[in-house]
This record gives sequence, structure tokens and C-alpha cells, in this order.
Amino acid sequence: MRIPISRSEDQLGYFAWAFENFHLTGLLAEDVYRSGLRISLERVAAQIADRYQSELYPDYPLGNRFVDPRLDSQERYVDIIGLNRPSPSLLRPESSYSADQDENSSAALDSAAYQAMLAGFLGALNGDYFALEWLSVLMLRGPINRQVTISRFLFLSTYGRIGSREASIPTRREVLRWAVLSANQRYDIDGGLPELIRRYASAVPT
Amino acid sequence: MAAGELTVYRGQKSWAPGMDITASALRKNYGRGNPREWTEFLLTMILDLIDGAERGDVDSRNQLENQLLFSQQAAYQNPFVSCSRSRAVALGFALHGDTPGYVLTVVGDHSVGVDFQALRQRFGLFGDAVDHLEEYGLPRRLEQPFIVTCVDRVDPVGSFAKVFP
Repeated sequence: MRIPISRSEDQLGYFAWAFENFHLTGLLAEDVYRSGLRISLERVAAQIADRYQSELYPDYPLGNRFVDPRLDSQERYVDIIGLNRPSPSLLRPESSYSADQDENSSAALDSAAYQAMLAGFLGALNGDYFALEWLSVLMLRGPINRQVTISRFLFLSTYGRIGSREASIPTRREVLRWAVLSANQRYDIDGGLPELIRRYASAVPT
Repeated sequence: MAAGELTVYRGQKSWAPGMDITASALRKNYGRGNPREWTEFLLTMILDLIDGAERGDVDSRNQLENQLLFSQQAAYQNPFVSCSRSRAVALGFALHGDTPGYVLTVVGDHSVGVDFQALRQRFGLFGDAVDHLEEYGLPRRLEQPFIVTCVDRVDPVGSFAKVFP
């Protein structure tokens, strides 16, 4: 990342990771990095929201969508797995558990899932529960490392209601339970993109 | 333990004597051309970034931070056989999905592989939750100077049986 992240700044760490590496916001992050605090926080937040939504909302008008030619896959995760909404998969999680594991994966799926995870971070950090549900789908279907990462992020975002901050690998039973809970409940989630953008811009080394 | 000797662990779902254990980038064609060339490309890039970070190059350090995270999230981006310094982590991988698996004990020369956690500590890199996996990556495949010294078959009820040697 272009800014230093201390170990106590998890939220800023996830934001910077996603903001710089999500293919639709990477160039925007460069602009913010160059401009520092001479930006409109609300305008940048709106741009980020538009871009993560274009990745995660299946009915987003794709004709308007910018695609980064450097990306390994131009397919969206939501299109590859063919789901219009996350909740049906989360409420019947058994059949989807680890469906994206290594042996089933391709570069296109891996790359699309990675981009969707980054988009999900940005969405959840914006307080968007739909994005959080997509993260739960990615955790449910994902390989172990993705499960570890997302379970920690969910823990941070839901004030510990779902996910885990333990330095251990989630069990199948835990992942299935979190999947169902994330679709059944509407937990308050900690969101606030403008403040994170401000902290990011403030942390730019001078 | 000899100077420079390292013990790491690897959890996996299947194992057989003489099994070729390879990096995920090398395991199959991900549509990125020849998997061997792609794996060498990734290795060269990551080692160059480490060299750059060691020289104090900020861009290398920043790109290394992102690439380590990417490598741990996307199989086709990882040119290493993923092991862990922690046996408990390897056990978690072996038992993933609450089904039986194998824990391999691997011994070799510390200077050959890449210690993700040590790099993050050294350069102050964001490690997310995957830092807790204490990943130690063996380049390309499990081969000399690393050898498997022990293999345990484990199952979710807690029993284990040594199957090698």
C-alpha cells in the first residue's frame, strides 16, 4: 500500500488494500494519493460507491462500467457463479461450501473472486449490507485463506456478531453458521467511507 | 538442529509416498501460458520486490505488500508450496471441511524459502488475518534442500496416526 498502516488500524488497512487494488478504484486511489486532502471526500466516496456497486450488483447497467484492461478477467464474480442475490445461497449453505476451492478454480474465477472481495470490503465499509452478504458468499465458497480473511473482516464490521478474530482456521460448522446468520439477521455494520478516505489522504507521506 | 535449519508444517487432504508437491501456480494451466514460465515470472517478481524493499525502495515495499496479500488469496498468483511455521495451522488445513487429512513435517534450509510473516514484520506490511497463518513458502515444489521427515494422518475427532516414516 502507498500509506503506512499500523497494526491497530485494521479498518484503514482493509480500506487501503481494497481502494488501491480493486480494479475500478485503483486509478482513483492514485488521484487521492497525489492530491492528498485537496479532494472532496463526499465526491470520492460517491465514486467508490458507484464502482463497487458495479462489481457486486448483478443488475447494474454494465454499459456504463469502466473495465481495466490490465485485469486478468473481465468477468464479474457474480456472473461467473450465476447468482442474482446472495441470500438464497447463504440460507442453504451446505451445497456451496468451498465450491471455489483450488481444484475447481481458474485464473478467471480466482481473479474475479479477489476483485469481488475487495469490492465487498469497500461496500461493507460504506455500510452496505448487500456487500457484506456477498462477502459471506465469498467466505462460504472460498478456499481457506479467503475464509480466514473474510471471517476476520466480518468480525470487525459487525462488532463481533459474526466471523472471528481468532488466529485459527474457521471450522465448516462456523462458516455455515455465519453464512446463515448473515442472511437471516441485519446486523448494524460499521461504515463511513468519507472518514476512511480522509484518513487515507491524511496518511499520504509528505 | 543445524544452523539455518528450519522445520515447517503443511496440511493437505491427500498424501502418498513420493508425491510431487508443487506450488499452486505450477499445479495446472491457469490460462497464463506455460505454468513453469508463469511460476518463474512470479518468483522473479517477488524476489525482486524483496530485494528492492531491502534497498529501501518505497515502491518495491508497497508493491510487495500488495503482492503478498494477492499471492495468499489467489492460487494462480502463488509460486510457493505453502507451509506454516505453526503445526496448529497445518492441522487446520489438513482438517478443513471437518474431514480427515495429513500433516507433513518438513525440514530444510531457512534461506531458501520466503517467510511471509517475517517479511511483514521487517518492512511493516499490512498482513490482514492471513499473517496468523505464519506462511513459509517453498519455491516451486517441495524438493531438496527440503525433505519430508514425518507424515501424520489426522481426523476431526482428534485421532492421528503416523504414516511416514
